[in-house]
Amino acid sequence: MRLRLVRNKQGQFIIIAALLIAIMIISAGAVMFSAVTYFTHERWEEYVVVIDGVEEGTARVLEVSLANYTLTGNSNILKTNLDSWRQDVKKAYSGFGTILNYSLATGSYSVYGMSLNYVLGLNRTWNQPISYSAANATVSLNITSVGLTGYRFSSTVFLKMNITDALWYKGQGNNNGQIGIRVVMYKEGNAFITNLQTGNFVLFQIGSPGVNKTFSFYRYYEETLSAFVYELRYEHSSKNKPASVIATVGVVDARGIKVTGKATLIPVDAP
Amino acid sequence: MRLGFVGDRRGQMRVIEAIMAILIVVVAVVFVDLFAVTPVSPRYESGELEKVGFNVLRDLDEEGLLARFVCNASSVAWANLTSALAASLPTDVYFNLTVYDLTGVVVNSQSISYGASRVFSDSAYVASVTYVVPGYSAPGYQAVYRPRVLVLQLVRG
Repeated sequence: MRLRLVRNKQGQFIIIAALLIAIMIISAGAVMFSAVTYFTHERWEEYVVVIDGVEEGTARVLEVSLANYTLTGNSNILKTNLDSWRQDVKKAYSGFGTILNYSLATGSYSVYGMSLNYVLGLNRTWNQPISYSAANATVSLNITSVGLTGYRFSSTVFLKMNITDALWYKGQGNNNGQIGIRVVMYKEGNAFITNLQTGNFVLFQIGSPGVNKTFSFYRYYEETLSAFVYELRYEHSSKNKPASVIATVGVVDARGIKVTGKATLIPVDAP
Repeated sequence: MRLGFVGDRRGQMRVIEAIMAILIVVVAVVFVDLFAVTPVSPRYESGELEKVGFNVLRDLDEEGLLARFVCNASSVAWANLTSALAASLPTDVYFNLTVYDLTGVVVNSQSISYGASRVFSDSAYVASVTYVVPGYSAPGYQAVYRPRVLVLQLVRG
C-alpha cells in the first residue's frame, strides 16, 4: 500500500511538471503577443510618416519661397511662408499634436564647400562667374501625442551656376564665327542638374543687357571639365575671334528657382 | 499474483498520466497559437501599405509632378494624377485619393481612384496616408504658398 502511494506521488509529479511547462508556454506566448502587437497600438508607422511628411513639406516650402524670392526680390517671403507652414502643419496633422518651430539661417554658413551669407534664410549671389541662389532653415518638431520633442533637421535648397568658358567656332566661307558659352548647373549636394532645356535659359545680348540673344542649345558631358555642360552657341558679329566676351546667362530650373551669372571670357578654339 | 496485478495498474496509470501531460502541453501550445500574430497577418498589411503610399506620394512630389497636378486642379490634372498613382502603385492595390484645402473643403472635382468603392467599405484593413503639398513653383508660374492636404486610402485587392 505504501509502495503504491509512492508510485502515485511520482505520477502526480509528472502532471505538475506538465502544468508548469504549460504555464511557461502561455507566459512566453503572452509576452511575445504583447511584443509583436505593441507597435500596432502605438501607430509607429503613422508617426514616421508624419515626421517624413513634415520634412518633405518643409523642403517644398523652402523651394517655393526661394523661387518667389529670386523672381520678386521679396526677402521676407521665407519667414512669412514658414510662419504659415507652422500653423498649417497643426491643422493638416490634427490629432498628433505636431508643434513646429524654426530658425532661419542668418550670417555666413558653409554650404557644399562654399561660404554663403544668408539674410532671413535666403541668399542671392548673382552676376558672378559662379553664382548662387540658396535657402536654409533649421526646424524643430514636437509630436506631443507620443512625447517626441526636439526632433531637429536642417533643410537646404540650392542652385548654383558656373560659367566655365567660351568656345570659338570659325565661320565657314563668308559666314560669321560662333561663340559657345558653356555653363554647368548644380543643385543640392553639388549634384549636376541634367534635365534643363532651351526654355530654361536666357542669354543676354553681349553689351546690351535686357535684350535676349538667340542661341543654339547643346548639352553633353565634358570629359576635360568632368562635368555635365550646357552650351549656348550664338553668332558673333564678325568673322574674327574677339579678344574677350562678356556673357550674362539666366536660368530658371524645374523648381522655378532663378539664378543669373555673368563672366568675362576669353574664347578658345573649339576642338 | 497480487504484485503482478498492482504492477499492471501502475503501468496503466503511467500511460494515462503521460496522455494527460501531453494533452496539457498541447492545449497550452494551441492556446498560445490562437493569439499569435504572424508576419503574414493582415494586421501588418495596413502599416506596409501606408509606407508604400507615402513613398509613392513623396516620389511624385520630388519629381515635381504632385504639386503640378494638385495646384493646377483641372480635370486633365486629376486624370493625370490618377494615371500616375495607378502606374506607381502595385497592380493589386486599390486607391482613393481626396485633396482638401486647409478648411477641409474637397478640392478635386472628380474622383481620383482605382477600384470599386465597395472594396474600401468591405475591407477590414484600410491604410490611410496624409501628405501635405505646401505650394507650387515652376518656370513661367508665380511661386505661391497654397497648401493642399492629400488623404490617400489604400486597400490590397
